[in-house]
Amino acid sequence: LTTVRTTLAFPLPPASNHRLKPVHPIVDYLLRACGRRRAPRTGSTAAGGRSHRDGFGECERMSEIDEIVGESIEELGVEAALEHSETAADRPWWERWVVVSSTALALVSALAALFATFASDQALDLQTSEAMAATHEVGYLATAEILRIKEDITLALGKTVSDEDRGRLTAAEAKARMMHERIEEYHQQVNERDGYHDLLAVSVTLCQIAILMSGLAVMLKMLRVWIGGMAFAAAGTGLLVWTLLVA
Amino acid sequence: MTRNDGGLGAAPLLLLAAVLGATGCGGRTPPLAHTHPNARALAAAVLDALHSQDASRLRDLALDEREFRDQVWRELPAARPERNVPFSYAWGELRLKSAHALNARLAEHGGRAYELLRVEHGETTKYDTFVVHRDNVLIVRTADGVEQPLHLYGSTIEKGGTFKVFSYVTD
Repeated sequence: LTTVRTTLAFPLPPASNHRLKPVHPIVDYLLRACGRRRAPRTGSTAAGGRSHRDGFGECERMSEIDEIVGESIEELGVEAALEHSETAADRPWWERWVVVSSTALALVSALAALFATFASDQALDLQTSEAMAATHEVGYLATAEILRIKEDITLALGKTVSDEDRGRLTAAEAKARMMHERIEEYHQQVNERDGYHDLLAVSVTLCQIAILMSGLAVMLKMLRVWIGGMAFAAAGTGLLVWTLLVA
Repeated sequence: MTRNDGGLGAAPLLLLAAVLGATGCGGRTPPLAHTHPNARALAAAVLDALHSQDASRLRDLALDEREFRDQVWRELPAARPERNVPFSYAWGELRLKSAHALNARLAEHGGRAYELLRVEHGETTKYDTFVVHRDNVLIVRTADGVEQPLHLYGSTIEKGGTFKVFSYVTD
């Protein structure tokens, strides 16, 4: 039992005066639930037992029977503890690493998802700015077109186009060109942010696949499944780092 | 018989040639009417018509609807299909404003005698078959001997070496 205690590292209460040797509380509870173990005797009850043993032979035999039964029950407890110990010993060594890697991957996945959200939000903001700039460009183009038509009609009537109208036309065309350049800048930035988002989304997916394969590896007790998952994890983490640092 | 047959055979050819000739002549744009060989002559004609308060002659010195439609309008940028400016609108505006400006000129300068000194104009716009001179200014000497600029008409059209008033609108 001491070996079992050491193996399991289960803290047991110190040795007592009880007739039944102490076992792990869980084992004790299970045995009691099955009706195979009695509650430890109290001091007064033990004193009563001694008085019976002293006074009557029947009581002494009963006590021996109790002792035999108690030892049998104790053996059962030891067997249960041994069985539990064997179960723990059956766990593959890499299970602990599965837990560690899954936790780390969950963190990486959460970070990648967070950065993907940031990139998506930025892309959305830039798209809004691009749409507003496009609206302004259309407005300036319309103004320029109206001024050109006015200029054409003015010329068709044999009149001279005023310097004011020429200035307004030139200004409208310049603003339209400026808006067009701004739209192109916004468009390029939107594409970049969308690219970031896509890369980060792939990173999240790879990490999630790795976590899934880790779970499957534990359930199936297949180390190679976990190793395969770690390949996905490496790809996902590498993609995240590359996206954040290089791309 | 042979002579008659030959005569009938040549008749359709002659008729076809006549039709083609007539078509060719009909397709040719007639020259502008009431033109003058240079800007100075045109200005002198306008001053003379103003002096005699001859509104009909002044109108003849300017483009009419047929001339504007056949010889001017199709070359103007405003006539491009994407502009969606109908000819009726352009001619209506030109005629109305030019007539209004002509009435104003007659009211202001009608019956007065001016001695033409020279003619100046502003920018010139070249089109395929004609040129428009804008912002015309007539430098004249009044009966009092004062030299002064007159804005009697706004623009002139020069086509085929002849000049005509495009519009009396000066503003």
